[in-house]
Amino acid sequence: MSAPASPRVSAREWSWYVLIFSSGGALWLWAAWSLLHGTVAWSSALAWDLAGLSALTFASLFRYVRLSQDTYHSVYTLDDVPLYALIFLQGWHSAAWTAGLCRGVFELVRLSRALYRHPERVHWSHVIYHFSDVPMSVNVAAAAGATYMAVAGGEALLGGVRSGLAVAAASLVWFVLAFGQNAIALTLRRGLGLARVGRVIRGNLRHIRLQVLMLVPLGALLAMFMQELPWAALLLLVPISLLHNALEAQHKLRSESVNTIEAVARYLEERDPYTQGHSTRVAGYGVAIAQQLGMDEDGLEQVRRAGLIHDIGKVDIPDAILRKPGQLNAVERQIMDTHTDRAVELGRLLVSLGRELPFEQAAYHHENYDGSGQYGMAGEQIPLISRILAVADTYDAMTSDRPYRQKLDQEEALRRLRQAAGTQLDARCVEAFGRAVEEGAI
Amino acid sequence: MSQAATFSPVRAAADFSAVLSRFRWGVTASALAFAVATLFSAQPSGWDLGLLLCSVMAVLSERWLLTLPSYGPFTLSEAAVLATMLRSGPAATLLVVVLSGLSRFLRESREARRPQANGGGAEFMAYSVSQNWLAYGSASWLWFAGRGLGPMFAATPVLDGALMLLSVGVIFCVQAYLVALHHWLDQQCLGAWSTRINWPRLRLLGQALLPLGVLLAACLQVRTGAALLLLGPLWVTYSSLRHYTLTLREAQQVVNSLARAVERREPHTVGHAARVSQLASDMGRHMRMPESEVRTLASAANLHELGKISLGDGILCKSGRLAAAEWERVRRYPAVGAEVAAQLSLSRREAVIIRHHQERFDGQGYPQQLQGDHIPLGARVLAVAKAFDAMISRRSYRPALSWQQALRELRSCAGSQFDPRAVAALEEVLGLGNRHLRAA
Repeated sequence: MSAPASPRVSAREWSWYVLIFSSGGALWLWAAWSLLHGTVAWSSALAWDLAGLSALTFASLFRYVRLSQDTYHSVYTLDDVPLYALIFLQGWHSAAWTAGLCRGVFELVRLSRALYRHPERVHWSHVIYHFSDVPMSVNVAAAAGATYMAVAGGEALLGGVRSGLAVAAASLVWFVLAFGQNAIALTLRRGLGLARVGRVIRGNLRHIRLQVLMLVPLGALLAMFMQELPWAALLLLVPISLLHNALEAQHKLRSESVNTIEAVARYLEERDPYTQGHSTRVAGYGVAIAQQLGMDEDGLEQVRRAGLIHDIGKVDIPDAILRKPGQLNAVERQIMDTHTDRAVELGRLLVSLGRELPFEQAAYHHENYDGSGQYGMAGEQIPLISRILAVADTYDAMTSDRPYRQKLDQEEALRRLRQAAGTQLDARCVEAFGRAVEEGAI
Repeated sequence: MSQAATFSPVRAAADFSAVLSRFRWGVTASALAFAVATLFSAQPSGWDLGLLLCSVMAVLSERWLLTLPSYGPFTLSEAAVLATMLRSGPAATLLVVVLSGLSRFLRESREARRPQANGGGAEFMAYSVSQNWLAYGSASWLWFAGRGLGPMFAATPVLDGALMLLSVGVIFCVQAYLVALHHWLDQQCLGAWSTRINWPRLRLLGQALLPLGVLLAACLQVRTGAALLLLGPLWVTYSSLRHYTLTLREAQQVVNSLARAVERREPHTVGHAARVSQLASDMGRHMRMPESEVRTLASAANLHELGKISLGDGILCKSGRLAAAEWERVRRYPAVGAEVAAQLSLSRREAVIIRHHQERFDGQGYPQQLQGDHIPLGARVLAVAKAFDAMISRRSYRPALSWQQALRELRSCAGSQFDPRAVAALEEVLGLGNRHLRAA
């Protein structure tokens, strides 16, 4: 993803920042004041817990997992574990104070790193966005901590039903607030309508629902060990880092697998000088059409990938058939048709990446809208992405040179697309393509 | 002799399996004697709710097997066994080891696709339980005799620390050596047995399973219920890793199926990669490459022609001389294959082998004109295996050579095109299947 060109900060976003920074700032000052002026009784246990858990919070912030390739990525961090432990051991003051302090220092470190490495990419609007994480985490820790203290009413951690309920209530508050705030911030930053918040939350939660929940028992265990068996607290690093590494490996592998398939698709094109760049162009046209049809970012990404891989099934079709000028005979047609079968088959192999790599949708790009295609699908039966790619593929085929004919110019190609609308192609997609051409997107 | 029979290395399966089975029965018998002695010796009872929890965990976790690419198959039951060992003494350890072994046996007999390599069935199961018991039983006696039972790191923290390290060391040694010996016998004694020590597995034990066992014991020491808090995070880790292994397997299947599709474009190369992979891994074992490298070599051999996706039929199936421009593109194909393989960070090492498998020992190869030992060992082995397989199969422009002819040809190119060590390894692997046995 390219760096965005200095996006503006809207009035809505400004008011969100004011709200967040004032509430978080006030809570943090209150917590600090309580700690300094003796509202909270100091003890060596408090000092030890604060020091140890702050260090852990700070360290765990640096091991985060990016949940999306988005510029304004949301991340999954492990700082929840020590913060939970602080809540259970010492109440909300220490938790909120530590959360603010560690997040603040962490963001400062990241900012100075970014300024050192690529100052040209640092824009003040991003800086505000990232620093708004600090008051947000103060809010979360304070609210969850206050909930825990109110419900538990001084009962020892997991010593009875009441304390158990308190843990549950605190984690509920934590999730709602953490994900709610994060999603609102992300939605505003991307300039989307607030109606999209739900979708952003779902996107973030898709892979980490349970992981986030599991930080609570780890926090409780950490608190318990700090009280009763300090040496074992260190051992907790093992399950925590296992959890983290597993999640990280899972995410990394997903993107690497996608890259692998894209690399195959790219090299496959080199086979034939005439198709060089074909898939990339089809992907570009497809995205332009999808934009005209109002698809969301997820959808656009799917169209792009489907475009890149739409010809991957041609890997073992002989050149004699691929490049044959004119009509294919029945046998050759049959061989040619296997390329879509192969794409479907590859899609079946890659079930767990079905979202990222839509092989099936890519395979059906030769289906005709009127149902006269290879699989006999018609109209809305054909997936939308396939219909989009059909238009993009046909257009690119017409506007590139072939050994046996010259390429057509844009108007002529567009005219022929419109002719085929309703029979071979989906009229809506052709129309969207026409609009995209008019707007200069193609 | 038929083509196929001459090609595959002669394996004297019967002879090796007799030795293997004798080894297994020896281990089983000594474990049995050890178990009987343990049962009849006087011990205080450490039976409590925590032991029940550990047993349940050991039994259940055997059902959730994970196979991580670099570590091989494992379950969490070893953590439960270690926790039992630390809390409840040798007799209880024996119980949990046997229970988890039974549970594993049930899982494996349910699974239709059991790897046949281990001989399978009750005999192997008895052996693997015995092996576990020898490791954990002796560690357990050491811990128990040194300090008795009771809370860890409470009364005698220094002694506890020393004993814990010692017991873990015992577990490591027994596991490492017995498993390595077994694996070596199982693979027809190719190469040195010490290269069969499964280091990744020991790393997994040391970094994850054993610390988790200590942690589980610590949880039970604080409060029995606290151990339940650990189950959630472990379960989620498991499911996350399972997703990971599934995705990985699928991605590898896709890449493999693409590589097979490339093979189909040239009819005479169908099956080439699979044969080369088998031959190269046997050669690697013979050359004492560690098992992990042998596995890397095998999968690199499987994919070594993937780069040909970027070549058109005009170049790929041409029998005459190539034009300079075409030659240029042919020289790129190892790099293309490597590039695709390297997208998965797990296949980086495969990618290195793929990239250099067309280098020549004298530095006249492509793509980088590396020479001698600068060429990765795996690539040198792969080059020999590939050339051999190409020579003994039919081409459109020449008949297949016999394997003696092919070997003569390879020998004459040893030192110029090929690494003499790799050629020698091929010779050994091809002809002399049961010489190891006669020597032993």
